Amino acid sequence: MVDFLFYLFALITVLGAGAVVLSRNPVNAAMLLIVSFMGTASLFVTLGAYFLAAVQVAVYAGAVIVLFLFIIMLLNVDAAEQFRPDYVTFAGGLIAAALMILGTLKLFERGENFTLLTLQELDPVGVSTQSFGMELFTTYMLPFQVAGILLLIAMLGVVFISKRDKETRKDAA
Amino acid sequence: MIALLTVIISFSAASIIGFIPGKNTKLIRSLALLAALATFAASLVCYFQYLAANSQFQQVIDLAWIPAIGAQFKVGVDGLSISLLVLTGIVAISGVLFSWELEDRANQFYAYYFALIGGVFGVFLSLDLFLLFVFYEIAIVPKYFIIAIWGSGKKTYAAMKLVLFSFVGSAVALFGLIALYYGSGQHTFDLIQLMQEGEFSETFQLMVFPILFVGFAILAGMWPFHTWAPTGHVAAPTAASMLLAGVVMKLGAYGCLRVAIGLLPYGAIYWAPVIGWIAVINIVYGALIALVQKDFKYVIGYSSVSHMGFVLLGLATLNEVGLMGASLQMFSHGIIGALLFAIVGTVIYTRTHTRQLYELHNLMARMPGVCWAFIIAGLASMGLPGFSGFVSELHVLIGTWNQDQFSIWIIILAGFGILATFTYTLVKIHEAFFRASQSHSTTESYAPMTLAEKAGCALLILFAVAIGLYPKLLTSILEPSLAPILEALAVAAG
Amino acid sequence: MNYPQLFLTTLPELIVVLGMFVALGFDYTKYKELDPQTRSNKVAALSTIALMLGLAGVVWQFLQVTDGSKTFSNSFNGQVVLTPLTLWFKGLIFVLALFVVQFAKTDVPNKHVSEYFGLILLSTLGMGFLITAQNLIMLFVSIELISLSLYGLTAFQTDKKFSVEAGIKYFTIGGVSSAFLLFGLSYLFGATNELSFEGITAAITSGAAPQNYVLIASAFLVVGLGFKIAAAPFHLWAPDTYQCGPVPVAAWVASGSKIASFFLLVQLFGPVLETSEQKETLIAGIVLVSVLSMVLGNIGALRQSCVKRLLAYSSIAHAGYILIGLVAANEDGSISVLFYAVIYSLATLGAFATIGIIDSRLGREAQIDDFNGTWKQNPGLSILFMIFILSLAGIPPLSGFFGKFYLFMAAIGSQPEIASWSEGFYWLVAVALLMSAVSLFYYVKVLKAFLVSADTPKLPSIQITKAEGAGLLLLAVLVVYLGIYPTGLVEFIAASLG
Repeated sequence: MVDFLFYLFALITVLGAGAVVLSRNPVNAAMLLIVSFMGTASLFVTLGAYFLAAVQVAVYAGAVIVLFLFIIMLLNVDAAEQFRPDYVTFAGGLIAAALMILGTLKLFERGENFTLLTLQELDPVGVSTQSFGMELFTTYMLPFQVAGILLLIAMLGVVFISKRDKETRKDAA
Repeated sequence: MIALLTVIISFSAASIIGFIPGKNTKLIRSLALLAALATFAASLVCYFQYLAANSQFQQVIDLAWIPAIGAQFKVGVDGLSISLLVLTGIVAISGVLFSWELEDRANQFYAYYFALIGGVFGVFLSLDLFLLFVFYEIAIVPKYFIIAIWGSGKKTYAAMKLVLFSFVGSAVALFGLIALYYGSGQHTFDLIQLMQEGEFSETFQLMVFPILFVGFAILAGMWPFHTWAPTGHVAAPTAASMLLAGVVMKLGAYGCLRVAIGLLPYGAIYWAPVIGWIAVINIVYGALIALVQKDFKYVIGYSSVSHMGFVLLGLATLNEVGLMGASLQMFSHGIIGALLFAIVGTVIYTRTHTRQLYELHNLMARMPGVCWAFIIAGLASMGLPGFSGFVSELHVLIGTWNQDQFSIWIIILAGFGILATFTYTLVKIHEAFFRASQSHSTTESYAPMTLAEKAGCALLILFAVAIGLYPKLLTSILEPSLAPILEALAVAAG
Repeated sequence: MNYPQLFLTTLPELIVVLGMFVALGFDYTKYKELDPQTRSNKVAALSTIALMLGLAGVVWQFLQVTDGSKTFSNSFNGQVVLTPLTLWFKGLIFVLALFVVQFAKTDVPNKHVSEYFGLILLSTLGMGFLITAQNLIMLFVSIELISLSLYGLTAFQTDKKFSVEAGIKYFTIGGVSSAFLLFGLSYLFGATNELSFEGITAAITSGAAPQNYVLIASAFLVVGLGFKIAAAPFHLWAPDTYQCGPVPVAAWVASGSKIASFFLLVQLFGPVLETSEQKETLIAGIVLVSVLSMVLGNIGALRQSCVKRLLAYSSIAHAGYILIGLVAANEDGSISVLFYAVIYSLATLGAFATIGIIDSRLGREAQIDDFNGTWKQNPGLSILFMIFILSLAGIPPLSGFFGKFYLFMAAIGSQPEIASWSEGFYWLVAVALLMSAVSLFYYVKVLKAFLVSADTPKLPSIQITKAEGAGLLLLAVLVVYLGIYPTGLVEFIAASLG
């Protein structure tokens, strides 16, 4: 049963992501992204990581997508040009992907298979939201802070990319 | 320590002269001459010290350097290296003398010049293969700049070709050196230790010997990898041609003798016939091509290839007389090759402004002094008795005769090579100096040789004659140094 | 959780972050009305101070750790591991960042001065964290920190279309590579159930971890890190990034981030390659990457006329050389990789800095022909450039030569006795030597323009600032010194690794 659910949600995730890439209308793409995110969230649920699943829905499928939509509307992005694949590149990508999948499968044959454990089996106490928070702010304090700096970088990036200087604006006009 | 002075003086001269403003030509060339004389003096001191105490290696300095790869800073001299140190000193002095008039970027010229010479000295001094290789590669880059900046004709092409050939050669040799390091079981680059204690299996010797030998021999102008030599020599400015033909090609031969044959005698015995064949091809091919050249400098360039064939042939004999011949020929060709390039590249060229033989007319009447100098050099190059070339080539031929592995054809071809050398030398002397022309009947004299040119010629001729008349000057120091190599060969031959 | 301890271990980074905020604050308020060049000088001075204080912190930690009186080691499950080796490399990163700041300040691409230096400082932070990280989470977070800052820096010349394009290219490809990396890391975690390198190594060595999963994880890690070190066939971003981004940024990508990535490679793969049962397969894969990098890098560089692009291809080739040390899978191999990463970074930083100085004075991208006759007006610059380029080409007595030699020795030493040519790495070294010969061709071509050509120089006499001059000189001295006497560094690395 878990196996079946895994494949189902994985399929939703992958197909959703593929559809995002292929869709020409940015609004559609953003909506399809939600589908993909929901697939991921469901996968988290099957693993027993309920908190992560909730965060996934609330932050990504909710807040991030809303932001995307805002920007799309504000900038008034038109439909992208017709997707014209460069066939050589396309074929190259396909070959690379096929090789990767085959290689990975081949490598799996190298040893005995083993089943991955779910979170509950791994650590029956540690999956609660409380213990998650405790871990995040004690054991993983440092990576958490560094992730904060990552956001700072994003902010700096936004400043210099989007902020127009007066002079350049004059030049443009 | 005195031997190491040659390297130190050269590199200091390179760095000091490099920073003198280029306008002070006089200061620069006097300093250069001074430095060259100093290196020569140091090498002479080594020579006399060695005569006084005829032991294996002298003045050994052994400092820890990079223990991680078993490399030491180990230098020292024996007779073989001293003979080449002296040669380098002589050629360095005469190179400066023959570039006396050079004014364009003189500071840079001598900086590269002495960097090259320092590298060459370093190779002859090194008793550690890693150190030897370092100096071997240091000598590569300055050659490019000297040829590309002060050369003539297709200079950038020739310079690039020369550098790439040298670099590929050194890369092949490097490959062999790393194999030696592991193959010896000693995990050291120490040449003496490798000679005495290195145990190289027979299959190893058979595999690695050709790699090492070819790697070094590319720089010695071995056929079919000789093509860099004529183009490089011709495009180079005179001092550089003198160094290239006189000394740099000896680096390769020295590596072949000291490293390849000295460390891998079993492999040497196995491959000797092949090398013998290649060597006679060098001799005959070089001589025949020289015969048909129209450009005077190309004639000398190919004659170098031919003469280096004698060195290789001497090496391939693997017997006492032959190896002695090879070592003598290294010295002899160093002197004579330098002299020939000096006369053609500077003395004649600055006066006639051409190197094409068909444009030279009545030179005998118009510059008799130069002509006599060249004729003496040509005779020495032919191997006429009384000159160093005779002694060395005779040794090589006797050695070849005594080498049982050689087919009779090698000896016959070597003899034919000597004949060809006679032919092209005489023909070219005739074409250059004695041919009168109907259209150009001018007999106006050219300017006589300058003092610097006279001094340079005299110095080189002096040594060519001295060795020719009294070869013991060199053989007495070479004999004890070749002994361990011969011993190793005798052991390997079983 | 020991917070005071965490504070002390991350002291240098905290100082740098603080310095960055100070610089940002001053730039947004007090310096607001000044002209960009003055602002740039001031912000650069603040950044320099921050980096120097950070460096002092690193030195302090180094002294404490070597002293043994206070141990920082293996704190927080491998998140920040302070050993003499990691601290030395972290210090090196800070020093290189100091150089980059000096080179960057004369030519800030636009008015966003403090953001420019801020991103440089933050990427320094990431590299420092990456070097001390021996924990998968910290590893990934620091790699992202480096990558994001570098994406931003590459796209910094917002007025230039190509800069932005290069930034986006770098961003897209880098994002994909991060995905590969993350996938590999998650497999590694899944197979070993450990986050710290120590635990992972123990699980792999003891055979507790399923080999096939470890192998898949490693394969994905090779791909992901291959992007970061610009090894072929994952190198496609490098030429554009190096050519079109600001030059100091290219120098930084080629030096600092390379050191950090190679350090990580050694830390992560060193133990795996030495002990894993499946090392043959993994080594075969890395050998393939190495050969491809050497061949594509060197052949690609042959036909470049833009010097920055040429250096980009040469950096691809150098990634190939360095991987030779990795496949040796022995102690010498690890030492030689780290040594080469250091000296390569010094030389390439110097070369890029010289190009950057010339580009900024020329006002456009320098082609090889633009350097014709540079020796006439700028002899000092030409000599320094010659030193850097010859070191990259591997000519003794410069450090590039010993570095390469050591890599080759290590590779052959892993299996010196061979029965056939397919065994051992003799053939790999032969390929590398051949490719070095090819590389000499284009390096000499660049030097020819600088030193040989007698044409009237296109470049005016260049006034370099004191900071730039001192930086270049120091780099050149280091390049020469490490070539003549590498023993000190080699033995330090050897002692601290073992």
